[in-house]
Amino acid sequence: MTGRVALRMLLVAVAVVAVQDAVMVHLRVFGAHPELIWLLPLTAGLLGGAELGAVVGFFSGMAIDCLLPTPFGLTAFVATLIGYGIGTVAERSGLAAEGGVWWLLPGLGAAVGMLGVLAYAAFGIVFGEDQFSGVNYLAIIPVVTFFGALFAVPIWMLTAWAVGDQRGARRSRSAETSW
Amino acid sequence: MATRRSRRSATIVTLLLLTAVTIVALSAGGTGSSLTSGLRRVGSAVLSPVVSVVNTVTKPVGDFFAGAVNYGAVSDENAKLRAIIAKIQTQGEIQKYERKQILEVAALQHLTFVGSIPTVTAQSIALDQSNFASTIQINKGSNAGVGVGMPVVGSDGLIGQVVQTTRSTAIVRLVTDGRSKVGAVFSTSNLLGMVNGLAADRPLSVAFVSPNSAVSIGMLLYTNGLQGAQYPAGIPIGRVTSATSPPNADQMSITVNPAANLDSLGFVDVLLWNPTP
Repeated sequence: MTGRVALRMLLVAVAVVAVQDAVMVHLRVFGAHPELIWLLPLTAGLLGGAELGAVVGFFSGMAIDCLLPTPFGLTAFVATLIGYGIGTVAERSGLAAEGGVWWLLPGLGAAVGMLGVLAYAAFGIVFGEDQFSGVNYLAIIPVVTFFGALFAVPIWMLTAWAVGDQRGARRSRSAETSW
Repeated sequence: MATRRSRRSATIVTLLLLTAVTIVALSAGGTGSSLTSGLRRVGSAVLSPVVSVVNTVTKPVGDFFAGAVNYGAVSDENAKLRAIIAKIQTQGEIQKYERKQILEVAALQHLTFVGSIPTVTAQSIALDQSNFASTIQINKGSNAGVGVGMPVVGSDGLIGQVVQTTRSTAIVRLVTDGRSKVGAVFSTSNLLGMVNGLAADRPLSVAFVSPNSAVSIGMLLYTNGLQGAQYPAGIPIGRVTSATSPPNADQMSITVNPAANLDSLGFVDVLLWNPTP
């Protein structure tokens, strides 16, 4: 990752975290609100591969963990896994070199939103946190899934801007290997 | 080359996951270690001004989205509000409303159950910031002497506990939150129990009360203030709404409605009282 990519990615992550905390929490449907945070490791993994996905997931997760009254480090843990998992699949399938496939994004955003909530709750319970057992998942999962699909493309565009250089390098690497 | 790259990725992700697990483990148990709480405080101090700016800039957008998503509810609410405004205008109730707000704040200044503990009155400025936690944000922080662990009360009783602070704001975990645990004593006996939160909009539950104990519907529970307690003694927590002794159970099944009205938290009092370690 070049310094420029890191700086741009930092800006994007801070912007998404700020929008999550300032805007998304007010967007309540059945008492639940969207969670943009899972879309950052998704798009970073798709566009930059496993390493970038994991790094972006970890640091954006830590940033949101600083602002939330939930277990510190848990979002970072789940987002790192998501970024790495998506990035690995994208690298092996060649999606990362192509810069992802934008038309797949709403579906992926929905899936990752749902997966993020479930993994977050499951690991929360594994880590011994009581708050996850009584939460209304029937409201949270549909809301996060729907808005994950809706916001996947805008977040992908932001991430694509941030990793522009890296994508170029990855494409040339991919072309060299194919020769 | 590709193998080396994927090995490097695997090493990085392993390190990141280990770091995250270590942080979760260190911060487990509420207030957390000084290292993780310090880290959180620094992160919050850096990000809060950005969030605040975004909040100011995007408030109309957020309100628009909230209005669009809840259009039906907003329309109903608008109709009700129009009716109320008309009523207020015709009956000259504005002064009464202002007086009510003043009385609300004044009521917080003379809470009998607070005793001689100094308090800071704060206004609630935001609700649940996470889908997984019942919290409010208040407009007083460390600059006003508010610190992590301090109890927060309303005019009717316990609201929760401060779990995070910045200079000008604080996050209060409500008694209904799944992580909330309050040592309690029943009003008409010396029975002790632990009042546990479950989730927003759900009643509280009471643990560790032996089967067939003298618990009846309507009984009030207070904080017990035992040694090492997180709250001072004598703050009303809630009233019993159901109490049964299931067969073969080793404790009663008791539910409690919070004494404080958690659905309309305008002003609250933070007790400048620190739990004994």
